[in-house]
Amino acid sequence: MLITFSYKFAIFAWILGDLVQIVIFCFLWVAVYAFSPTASINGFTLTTMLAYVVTSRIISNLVSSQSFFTVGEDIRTGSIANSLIKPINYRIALSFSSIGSYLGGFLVAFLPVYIPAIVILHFALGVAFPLWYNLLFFILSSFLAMLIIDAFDFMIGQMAFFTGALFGIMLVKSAVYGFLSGAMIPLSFFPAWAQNIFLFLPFASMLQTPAFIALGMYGLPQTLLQLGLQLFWVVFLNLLSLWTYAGSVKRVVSVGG
Amino acid sequence: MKYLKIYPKFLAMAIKAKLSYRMDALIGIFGFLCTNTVAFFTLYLTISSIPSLGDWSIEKMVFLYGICLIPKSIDHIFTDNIWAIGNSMVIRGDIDPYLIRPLDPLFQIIASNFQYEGFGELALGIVFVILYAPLQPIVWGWGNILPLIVCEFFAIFLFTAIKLLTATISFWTKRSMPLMSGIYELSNFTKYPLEIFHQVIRILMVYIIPFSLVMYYPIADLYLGLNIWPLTGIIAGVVISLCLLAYAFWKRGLKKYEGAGS
Amino acid sequence: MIEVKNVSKIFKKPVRKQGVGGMIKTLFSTKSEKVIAVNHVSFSIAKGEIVGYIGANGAGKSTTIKMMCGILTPTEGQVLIDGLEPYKSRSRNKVLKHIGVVFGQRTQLWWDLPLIESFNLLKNIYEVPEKEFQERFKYLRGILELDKFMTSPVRTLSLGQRMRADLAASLLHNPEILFLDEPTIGLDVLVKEKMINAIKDIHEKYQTTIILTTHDMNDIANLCKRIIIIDEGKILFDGPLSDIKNRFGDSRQLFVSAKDRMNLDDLNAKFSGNLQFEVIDHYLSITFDAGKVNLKDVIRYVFDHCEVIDIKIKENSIEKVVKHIYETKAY
Repeated sequence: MLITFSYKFAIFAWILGDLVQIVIFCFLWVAVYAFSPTASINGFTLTTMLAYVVTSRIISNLVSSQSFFTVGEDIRTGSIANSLIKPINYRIALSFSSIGSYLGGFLVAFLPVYIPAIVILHFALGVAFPLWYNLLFFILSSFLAMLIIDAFDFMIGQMAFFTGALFGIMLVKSAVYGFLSGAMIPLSFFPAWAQNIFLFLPFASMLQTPAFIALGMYGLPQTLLQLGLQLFWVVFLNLLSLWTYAGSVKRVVSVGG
Repeated sequence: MKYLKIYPKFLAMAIKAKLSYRMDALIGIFGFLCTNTVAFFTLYLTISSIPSLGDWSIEKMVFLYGICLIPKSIDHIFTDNIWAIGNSMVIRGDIDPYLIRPLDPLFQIIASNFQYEGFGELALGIVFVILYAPLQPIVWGWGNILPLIVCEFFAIFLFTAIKLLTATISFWTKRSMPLMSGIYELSNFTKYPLEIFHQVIRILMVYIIPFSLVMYYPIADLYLGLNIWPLTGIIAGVVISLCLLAYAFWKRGLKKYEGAGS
Repeated sequence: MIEVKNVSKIFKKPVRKQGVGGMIKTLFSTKSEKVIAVNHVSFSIAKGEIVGYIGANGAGKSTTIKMMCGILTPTEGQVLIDGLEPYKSRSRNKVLKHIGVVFGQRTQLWWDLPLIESFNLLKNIYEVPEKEFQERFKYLRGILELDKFMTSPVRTLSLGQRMRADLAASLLHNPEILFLDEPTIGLDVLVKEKMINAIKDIHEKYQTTIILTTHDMNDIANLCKRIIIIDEGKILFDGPLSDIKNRFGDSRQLFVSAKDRMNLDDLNAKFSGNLQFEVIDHYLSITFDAGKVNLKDVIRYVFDHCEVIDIKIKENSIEKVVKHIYETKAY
């Protein structure tokens, strides 16, 4: 009887894992704000911070890409050799696959969690509902964010190809993304010199940008500017990934795969 | 006892086996180092934005962080295979080869793996503890260093017991990995002063999944200038009971075990 | 001495429904159905016997073997190995010292380390005295030709090499009983022969009781005097190999290739409908029971009624008989 429980179990337990992280951060922030001399820290009040913690966690699941794992698995099982000689460009195929997952994930995993979340945030903390145009911008922004992460993941996945270390690289990647994209703490908490550097890196566009748009923390001009920046990164990184991919193919073919 | 004699041999095999994947091991160490460093910096940036978290200065928090990292990493190094139990071993019937040998299967599973990557975490933890111990409002002497070491020792086995308990559930549910990591994540609460959390969480972390009992309370008591030997005794009792419970549960699960295929 | 007494094994599988709607329903339902993998099976195996245990995939072979090794516990009934139940925790370790197991699809060797290391650790696990170990080791490495790859990591071995190594590993501690679960699966002809010969040799030298499951009928024919056929959890046949032939009569198969065709209905009518026809590789195959139908008569008829280019005569193969048993589920 308990065996049939296993499938539902897995899904519930997954949500539990995320929930723990959210709870830790929420309590931590409540405590921090309790001891803060000012109501607002680095541009966030407690309410906006809590909203940010919850929203950014939900969004991070949405914009994540499977490309890293796919590339890694293909390398491990050797099926990458097949993929590289197929007429369909492997890189493009993976992109489409990521887009598919994104769309599917949006409907099945994101909406069912996000909608209740903003309802709870509104009634429990007085967080305003997102404005309709911000929501539309958000959808666009999250899509772009996903494409950025996808390109990045793909390139890093290729590193796994040459070093054979999948798990370790994944850890480094997750840590770096998480930290520099604002998933763990908003970027305004970083020292000024670091924030300046971030302006030139794509990481903020991966998570903080869509999160801020959803929370209505950008005015209209800022929103459009950020979207433009995201678009730039999407184009730049995808071109870069195609270029590195071509390089990898050459390498593989010359070694005899 | 036979097991004491044969454990080093298993371990030697495990250590040698991983050596052939040198690159992997190194990147693994680096990877965990990154993860923990990032978590640490997040904490640092958070706390730095205010003068102090009540009684808790940044020095105290770093020290606590290190105290929590050390037993976690040692458990990571030696018992990492328990994750495999909850993740895939039950479904794939991978426990079978262990059942054929006249040796306790759990012993074999644990002894067969040596995770170098935990050394990254361990190094970080040791650095934090050594650097920040002198900065603590505690007068260090054998009267408190010794029991602290004993507590840390038992803390290692707390991690093992909790992992084993959650992994054993997979005998009934085929896969318990999500639950395992969820509960393992709870250990993260311990790195923070218990007071900031809601009563429910405090009860959870002290009485139910006692990470805070074993790692946080000794430090908190030391700050209060208390003798922690009695607490150490309690901790020892609790951890040993949990280990026995976990092992008994494991045996029940094993009974239920159905190999894959017919 | 192995005794299997009225053993059954019942698995519970969750009922899974189709489609997305079904998936959601399954998420909230607790229904499960029973799968009877082994159904009241009984047999005994005496010391020194070599028994072939055959059945289709999913018939219950591996399940029975696992119960005999102590990996699975019977839902009903008992398995006794020298009077002890291998799945009971008290007696388990005692029993395990006396049995060896080779799972064809899995290895019990350490993947990343040289073969010799696995052997050494096994020696320690089974507490084999050094002298005995050296003696067995020398014998096994010789007969299975392991020297060439003794120091290679197991993951670099070919399938054939790994199987031989696994066989050696299972015998290091001189077990009285050896379970072989598909030991020759995927092996090429030469290696198969080596394995089978080694097994024969080991049996002769040490009088090991051997239970072998396999799909390869040649292995069975070469090794086993007795076979047990299991199908859908029940035993269809248990007895000497020679019995099968006798029981099922002496089937013959004629392969004819001719310039023209015969009227098969007429041919069959002549022999009272006792013939079976098939086209195999451009040959007409005529199968019949030589007890009921006279071989010479059939040949004569064929030559009389068509222009024969080539004719071949095949005797009953165990494979066919077993296939027949599967199909009719009777003996």
